[in-house]
Amino acid sequence: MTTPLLTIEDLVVDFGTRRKPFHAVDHVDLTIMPGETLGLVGESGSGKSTIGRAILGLNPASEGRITFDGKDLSHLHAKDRKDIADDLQVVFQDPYSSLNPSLTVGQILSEPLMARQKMPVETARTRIKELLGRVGLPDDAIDRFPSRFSGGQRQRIAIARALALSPKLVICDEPVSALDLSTQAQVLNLLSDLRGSSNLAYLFIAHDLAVVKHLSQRIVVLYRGRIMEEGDADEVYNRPAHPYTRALIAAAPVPNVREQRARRAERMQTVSASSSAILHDGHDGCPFAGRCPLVQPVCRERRPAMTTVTTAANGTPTRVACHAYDPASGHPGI
Amino acid sequence: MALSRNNPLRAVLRKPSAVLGLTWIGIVFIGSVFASKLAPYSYDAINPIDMLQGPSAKHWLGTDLIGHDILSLIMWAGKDVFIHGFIVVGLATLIGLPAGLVAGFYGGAVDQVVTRVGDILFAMPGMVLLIAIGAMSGNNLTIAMLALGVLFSAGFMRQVRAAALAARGELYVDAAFVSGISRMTIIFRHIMPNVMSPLFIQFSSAFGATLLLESGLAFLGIAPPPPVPTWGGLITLAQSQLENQPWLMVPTGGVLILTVLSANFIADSIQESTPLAGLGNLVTARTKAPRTEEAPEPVRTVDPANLLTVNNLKVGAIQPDRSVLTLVDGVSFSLRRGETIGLVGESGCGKTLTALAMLGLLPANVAQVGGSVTFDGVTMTPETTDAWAPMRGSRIGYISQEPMVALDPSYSVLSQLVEPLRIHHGMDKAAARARAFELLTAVGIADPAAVGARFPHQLSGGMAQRVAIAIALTGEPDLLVADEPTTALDVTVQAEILDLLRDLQQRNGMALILVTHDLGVVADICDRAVVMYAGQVVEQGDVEDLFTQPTHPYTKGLLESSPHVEHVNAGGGDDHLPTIPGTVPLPAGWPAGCRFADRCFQAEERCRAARVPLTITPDREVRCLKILEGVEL
Amino acid sequence: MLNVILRRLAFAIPLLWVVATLSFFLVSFIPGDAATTILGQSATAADIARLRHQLGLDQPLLVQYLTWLGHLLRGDLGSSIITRQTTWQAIAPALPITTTIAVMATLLAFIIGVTLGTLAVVRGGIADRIVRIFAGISNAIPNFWLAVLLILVFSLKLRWLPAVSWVSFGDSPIGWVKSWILPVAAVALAGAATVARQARAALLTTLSRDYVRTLLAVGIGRRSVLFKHALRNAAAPVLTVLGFQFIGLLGGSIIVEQVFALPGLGTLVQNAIQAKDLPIVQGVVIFAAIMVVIVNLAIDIFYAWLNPKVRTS
Repeated sequence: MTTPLLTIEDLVVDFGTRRKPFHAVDHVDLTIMPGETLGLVGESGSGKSTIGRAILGLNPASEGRITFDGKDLSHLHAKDRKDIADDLQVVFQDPYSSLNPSLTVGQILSEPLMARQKMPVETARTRIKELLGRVGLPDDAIDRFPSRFSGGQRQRIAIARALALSPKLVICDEPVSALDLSTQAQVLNLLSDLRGSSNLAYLFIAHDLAVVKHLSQRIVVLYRGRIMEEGDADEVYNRPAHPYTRALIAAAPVPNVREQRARRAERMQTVSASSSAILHDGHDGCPFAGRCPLVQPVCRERRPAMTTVTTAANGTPTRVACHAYDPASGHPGI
Repeated sequence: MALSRNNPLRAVLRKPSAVLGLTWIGIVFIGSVFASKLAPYSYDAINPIDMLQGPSAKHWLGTDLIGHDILSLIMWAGKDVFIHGFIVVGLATLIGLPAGLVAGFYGGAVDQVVTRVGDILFAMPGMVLLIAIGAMSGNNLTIAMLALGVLFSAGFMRQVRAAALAARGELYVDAAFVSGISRMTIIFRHIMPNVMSPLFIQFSSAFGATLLLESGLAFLGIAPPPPVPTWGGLITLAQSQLENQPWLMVPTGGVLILTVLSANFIADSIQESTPLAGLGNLVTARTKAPRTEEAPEPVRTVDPANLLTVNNLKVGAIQPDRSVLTLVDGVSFSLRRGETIGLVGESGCGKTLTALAMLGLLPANVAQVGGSVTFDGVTMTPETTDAWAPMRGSRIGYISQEPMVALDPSYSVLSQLVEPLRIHHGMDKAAARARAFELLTAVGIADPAAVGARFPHQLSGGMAQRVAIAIALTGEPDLLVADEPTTALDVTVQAEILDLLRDLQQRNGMALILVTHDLGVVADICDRAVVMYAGQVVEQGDVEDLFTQPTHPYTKGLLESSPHVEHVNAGGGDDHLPTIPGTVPLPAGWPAGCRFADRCFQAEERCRAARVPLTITPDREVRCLKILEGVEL
Repeated sequence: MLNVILRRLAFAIPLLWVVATLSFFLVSFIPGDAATTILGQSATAADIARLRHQLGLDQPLLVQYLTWLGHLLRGDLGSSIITRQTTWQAIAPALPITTTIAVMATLLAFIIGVTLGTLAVVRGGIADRIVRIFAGISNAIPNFWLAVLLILVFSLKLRWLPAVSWVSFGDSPIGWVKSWILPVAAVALAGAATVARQARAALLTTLSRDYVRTLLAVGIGRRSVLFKHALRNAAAPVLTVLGFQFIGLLGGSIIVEQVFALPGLGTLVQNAIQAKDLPIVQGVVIFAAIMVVIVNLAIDIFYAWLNPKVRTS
């Protein structure tokens, strides 16, 4: 058994005011193995990006522990971050805000190199041109400003920056959701190719389960800061167990009229109330209780425990936080 | 660092008014600093013969009571003006720049303290304090200027803080953090360039303000004792001789006004170089578009059975030189009553502009430049877009992509419903309120009374979109134009909104034009789809048919690259999606022939030769040369 | 709403304290010993000692400061060294003059500025250019120079208005208006220019918002969109800077009233400075700060009323 590259234990990130705090991330556990791609899926407010930012040290953790490559990140000082910058990198969603418009592509890509070692200018330029080649951009991009590039090309530059130091883990925070359909597929393929050539792990964050499924080996589904379901990617996508995962999949429209008609009919079974009718009732039970067709009183009373439902052929267990699967909960089940 | 695009100095050098301002300040600066060499007379040179004279060859700007040459006095006095200006601007920068950077970058408690101190400085009764300080320090203007520098630092701090705070929120700063770049380096490399523009604006406007305040103090006598001249003191002198030689007012005030004006010109030119975001002024701007050459597209007959017929629509951006950049190039489609049509394509294909043209509400500097839109027998051409206003709301409704910003933040939900209800139906207030609650219920809002009393900032995205739909329904339109109505929403909320739209359509028999990039949404709700690429329709037809048997290579590529479509070898997390190589060309670079040719794996040289006509059959329209020639793709 | 008022008042306390403290320590600006400076070199040692005692200068600076602050908290601003009047009595007749000019100028600047800014946006084209040029030039004209020019034109040449003299409202309402119209005009011009520029920019920004398109799309007329919706939303950014405008215009009034020889706070403070009458100087500085606080409070309340985000928080 290899040791995980990243371990998150009982992570809590609080937002809001001191008087009215709320858990953006609410006691979350995760692991990523070396070379593994873990998909993190959820809607807005699910805390998926906050988890990524907590790993990167951009949002402080209120409770819990983040261990990366044997080092405790949760209490890492800002100036010690450069010690792990080699191994932990990021690609953000917005390819416009993530590249400084007043720097050339070369200057942007030399930034991670600059923080690490004093590299002679010529060596750095050679390395940058090599990076540009890997992400499918021409050599002469090096002296241009980001404004000369389209969204997809900018995202390639951002990926090149993340890869400059040959990291072990790249946090991909919705890297394709700002892109057009045809570009989105190009960038997904690029991420897939880059992973193939080295032992690179991704934490792939997105709101679209179908996109996540394409790249990930395992998937974690979040709702209101909590893990609802985790398991093998195909298993979660094709046989979702948690009522929320089912609702999420049924709600995503597919470009096939007949199949979509079937999905629509199925969707009617997955939620019991419209989102606008739900008031956040503030109980500590299951956050999906208000919309869940399987809701029982216990769902509003106690936080569901993670329960193993099935195990995929490759040995990855599917676990859900749902009383309906927990015989000890008193929920009559499905 | 290279002189980058957003360098404020570049902006200055591009504007004639700023160049004029810089030149004038340069002249005054040289004349003042080298007054001892350049001034025609010494400041204490008295010439009793030439008393209180107007301008002459000997004394260009006239003379004062005891025959001082006014031009020379102005030049001699100028040196102090610049010294004081530099003291104030320098001190304000020295305090304001680091304080603003630290406050904006670090935030938290530091920010609180700095902002509070700034607020207090901002609310100081400046002039009274300056008079008191100046007078108490024995008419020492330098001390008064130091005090002014401290007061002005609050303005510098505010501007720098706001810019630093904005820059701090940029993801490239986060990326630099992740790369382990030190905070100092981040501040200099990423934050400072963003701070330069507001800082330069402050430099020049504070310099102008200093000049006015300094001469005001000197005018009151808070200045070095005579015979050392000051610009303000010269105006005092002019005032005392107002009845004898009013001319004196001209040069003494003139030099001050022109110098302040120059400083303001420079500040304005930097300010104006930052473009205004948003749609541009839709209400009062008048862009009369020149009609351009018609696109060589077949003209459709208007079938009276259709609710809407769009015929060869052409939309263009009016460039500063009045030329037209075509953005939508000869789009035609029609819509029956109660039908739903999807305008599909990637960004930059012209689908949103096509939809907005249905309302006659194109963004500022964008206009319909050709073709026509016929709605229920009424036709809109480029010349008659103004006459389209009565259609809006009552016949054609609209909902937009971002529901949160589509509602007026100053009015409650209820009053935003009541206003159009009263306009369209002449209802009294009570009737309109009752109808408003009905509409809120109709769009699935459980507690209309509570939601009606809310303001837009108190609504969630899904709720705001329901409200926006309710507003669009007030005039009971026959056609609803929805521009990416669910793109900004979560997928579970999107499903609810699509259900709502479908439900409303079935109840009201309303037709729907849905703009979207999401093929799944099209499959869910549309009867027909119009696929657009680079301003043209490339394929249209019945959705079910089109999605199962796409013929245009672009439509095919789009469908295949969707991650929602089950592909062979799905799963395992390592399959490749089929892609369309390259990107959508920009409007300025649209090729003469097939616009998709550069990305098409079947393109040949013939495809690039000339505009590709549509192949029109009863069930399908396709713009592809090969299909026109009957080739099976 | 109450929240807004309380927050603003909570902010006023440190402001007034800082201004008061500053005005106290201004005295130490005076080179050498204040008593000697006041009485002149020819004064006897006994006289100086007596004045030093009277001013409390024989005590440690901190004790002087705390005593003075204690008096201030009870509303005791001391009394004039020269006339023996209390500071209140000295300031009372001057206050309405400066207040009238500054408040009228602010109102005028706001009304003219918003009108011109709106006109520039509505008419566009040439009107927009004219407003921008007017605003640019007006901003650069020093108010005291303009005051002198106004006297030259309206008092000396046309003889329409008095150059000097203040008539109270009680004596003659028309005379009252005549006595402030020129000073207000001189002060308000630059303010109107600034407000016009801000109103124009704010309105243009507002008109480019998405909701403007929604309003037009639902069939609301252009006039209503402009006057009911856009102007109201554009008012907020203009109002936020109006408080700062008032400070500038108050400063302007203080300079300009001396051109017109009006016995306002400016003239009072000038004379007090000349006579080294320190309590009066301190009093005027503190009163100016109080005026700023009151005007800002009024603006904040109006702002909160306009802006539901503030009102409902």
